[in-house]
Amino acid sequence: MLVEGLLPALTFVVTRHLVDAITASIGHARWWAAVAPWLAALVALRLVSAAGTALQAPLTTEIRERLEVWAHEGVMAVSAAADLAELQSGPFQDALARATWVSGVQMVNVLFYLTQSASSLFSALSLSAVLLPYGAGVSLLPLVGGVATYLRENRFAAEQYDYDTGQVRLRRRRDALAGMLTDRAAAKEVRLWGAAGAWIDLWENHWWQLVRGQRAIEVRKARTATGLDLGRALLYGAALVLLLTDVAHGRAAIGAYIAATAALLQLEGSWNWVSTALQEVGSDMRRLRGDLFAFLERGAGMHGLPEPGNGAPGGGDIELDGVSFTYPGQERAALNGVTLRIPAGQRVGVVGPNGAGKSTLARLLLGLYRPAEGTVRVGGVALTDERRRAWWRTCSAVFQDFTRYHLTARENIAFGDLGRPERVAQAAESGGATAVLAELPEGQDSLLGPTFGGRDLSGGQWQRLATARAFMPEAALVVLDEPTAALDPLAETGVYERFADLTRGRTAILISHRLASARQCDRILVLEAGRIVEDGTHAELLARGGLYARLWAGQAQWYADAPLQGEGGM
Amino acid sequence: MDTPDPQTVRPTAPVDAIAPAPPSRSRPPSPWRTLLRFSLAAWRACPAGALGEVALVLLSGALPAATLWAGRGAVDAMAAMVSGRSPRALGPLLPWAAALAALAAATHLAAAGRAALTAFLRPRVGVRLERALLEAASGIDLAAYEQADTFDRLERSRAVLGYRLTNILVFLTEIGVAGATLAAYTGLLWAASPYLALAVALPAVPSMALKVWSAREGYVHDYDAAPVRRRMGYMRSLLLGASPGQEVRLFGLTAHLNSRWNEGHRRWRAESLAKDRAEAGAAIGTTAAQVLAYAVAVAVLAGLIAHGRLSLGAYVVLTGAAAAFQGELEGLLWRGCSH
Repeated sequence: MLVEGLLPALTFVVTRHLVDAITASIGHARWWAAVAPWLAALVALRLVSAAGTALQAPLTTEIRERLEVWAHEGVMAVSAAADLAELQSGPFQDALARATWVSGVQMVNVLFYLTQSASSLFSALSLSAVLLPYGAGVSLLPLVGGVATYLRENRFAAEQYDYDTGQVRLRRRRDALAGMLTDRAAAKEVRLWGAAGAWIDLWENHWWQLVRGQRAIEVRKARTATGLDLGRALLYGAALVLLLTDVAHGRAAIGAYIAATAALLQLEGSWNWVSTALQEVGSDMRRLRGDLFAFLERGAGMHGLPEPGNGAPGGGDIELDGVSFTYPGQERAALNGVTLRIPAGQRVGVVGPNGAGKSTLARLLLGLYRPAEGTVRVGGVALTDERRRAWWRTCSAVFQDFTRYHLTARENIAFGDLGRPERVAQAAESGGATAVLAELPEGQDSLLGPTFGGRDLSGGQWQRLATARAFMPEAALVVLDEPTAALDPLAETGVYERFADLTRGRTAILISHRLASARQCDRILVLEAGRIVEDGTHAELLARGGLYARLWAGQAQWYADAPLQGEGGM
Repeated sequence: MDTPDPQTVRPTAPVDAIAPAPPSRSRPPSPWRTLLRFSLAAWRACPAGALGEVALVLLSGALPAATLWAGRGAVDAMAAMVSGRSPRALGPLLPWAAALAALAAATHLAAAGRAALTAFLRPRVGVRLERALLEAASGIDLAAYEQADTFDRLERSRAVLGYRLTNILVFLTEIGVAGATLAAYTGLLWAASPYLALAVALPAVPSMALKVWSAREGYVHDYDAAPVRRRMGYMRSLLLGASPGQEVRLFGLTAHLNSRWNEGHRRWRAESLAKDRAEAGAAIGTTAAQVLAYAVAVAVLAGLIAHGRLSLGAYVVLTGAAAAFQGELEGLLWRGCSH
């Protein structure tokens, strides 16, 4: 970089001497003796420049890739340490989107502009020094243009950043629409509902909203650029006049003029580059500070990645004492003042209407959510942040919105406990996934999901793998959140038949809309609007004649031989 | 998310808009055909803007040669003063200074105009192309859509519509300017001596071959690496996604998924570096040939001046043209092959 910065000044000196040598050789037979050394010097300078340029690419790649890893590690660490509810919130995802964007393209920009501005600054300083003998005006006038360019660019960069930050939600909506239109999971519904045209129109509408705001900035930029460019040309003209005056009065040779005019153009370009690059660096720094570094600093107050088994509660009764939870950005509490004690080894069914707080309760029991109020205790030990993370190592779950890993079938199951891959076959048996594996062309090693060309499975087959995953660890607490929603009746029966065996000696939470499956639990909790409204065994709750009894009666009529309500009149 | 209005639903694009993916390491698509299609898209998006861009490109291309020509006038006027053929005075030099300043202003304004027009054209071309892509994507048969190759192609297509589209527009105008400038320089050199023009231009042939090879290798590298980058993206989506977050936490998958991302990144980095190093080694050799050709041209011109067969002003123009010719040609080849 330093060598590259010095080259223009050295080229100026060599060119001046070369031209003077040529001028002095006019009419001489051995003209080449005076010219050759300077010509050789010029060739050497150009070769050094070429070598520098050629070697820059691998060096830049190396640094860029290392920066990408550094930024990825940072962003990933913060996201992994974030509370699940926070991770799932809109503001966090906005900040994550900005940090991800900055850690990609912006980091490369910073690297490029930093090296370029340093190199150009060195060029400008060395050229100014060699031009100084021709007058301070010649040497310093181009600097004025550079400063004006910097001020202008800086002003617009701040405006651009404010605009970009304000439009991030709209941009995410636009990108989400484009994502849905190209997403495999959404492809079926996009085609079935014929929604593509309307979504594309909406996407284009968002696009133009963004463009209109950007256009206003671009117009103002163009106006100031015109004035600035005219000013820079006038300054260049003034410097030329100063040089020509020196030549006309015999104070400078023609060689000096030729070299100086070339140097002057280069000097102006260098100052302009320094200004632009510094402004770009400033702008990128603003984004790095506001988007990436601010995001990374979120991790400062968070705890490190979970250490398996480190301080894990040893199991025992689970207690909730006045626990409330509200999702970030929501007004209404999803769970409100829940007090509950689940003895170790008890199987608890959780039922209730949609939005009652069943899945939220499960995530609080698993320690995935931090209560807004109240305390969760395991074996009498409060689940602090550190303990919550350790508690995960003794829990397992099948979530209602389980993840379909587009990796191998083996990984889909083994992810439940990476430390004991030998348990995959046994877990597959427990989750009812053995038949699924047997149908796959390469068994456990078959690639699943179409994203990477693997085999796609039915919803029920994916759910069996997720259930198998939940049975990988020998967990103290197992949560099954609608584990049979996508299964056929026979498969569902199989899961519930195995439920008692698989959860023997463990605390189990079964969330289900099918009350017949909750019936086999030791105890049933009925939730409504974030509160436990009923608590007892199946028989006790039926006898009470409350919400559970009504829900039961509603479902039971579909299985009774008697005609359904309304059928009698047919 | 707004609910789509069924009244506005329109038929989707032809099913074959995204054809089956070509096999890996296939020949890159013809750049000229692609250029033509892209230029047509720009023209359809905004004919007036595209015409303005062409006019500014031609003007920008002619300005460097005009500047050299004005420089020759100033140098010859000075040479006349130094040799005593005319009196030493600033007056005769001032028109040349004014001409040079005016040309500098025109150069700056043309560049600013091109930048403004590019910013104006970019969203118009971008929305047109991306809309076509979205329509094509939603028109692909579901079975074909679920193939991995289709995703790879979609990934690359969408990548082009991001910052690369801006780059393509910027580089297209720069290629146009470089082409026009080269034509003007070639005219200047050819007028002095066809041999001089050939001596400057011929060493660019190996450089051109290298650029074409590099572009092909770069395309193949990008093509082959698309699945690797996509796997990295998938691991990243599992690590950072809101929905997989619960399982990643509960089952302690962070370190494992992160190591998978790192594994992909190591492969990507090694391949990128190997490509860059090979290019750097070859570039030094081809550039050396061009520098030597430039040195020969300067020596020949110096000899002509020493024997009184060329003016100093002409020397300034021709050495300037020779140096700039190679610079512009390098730039043209790099831009042309990269994009």
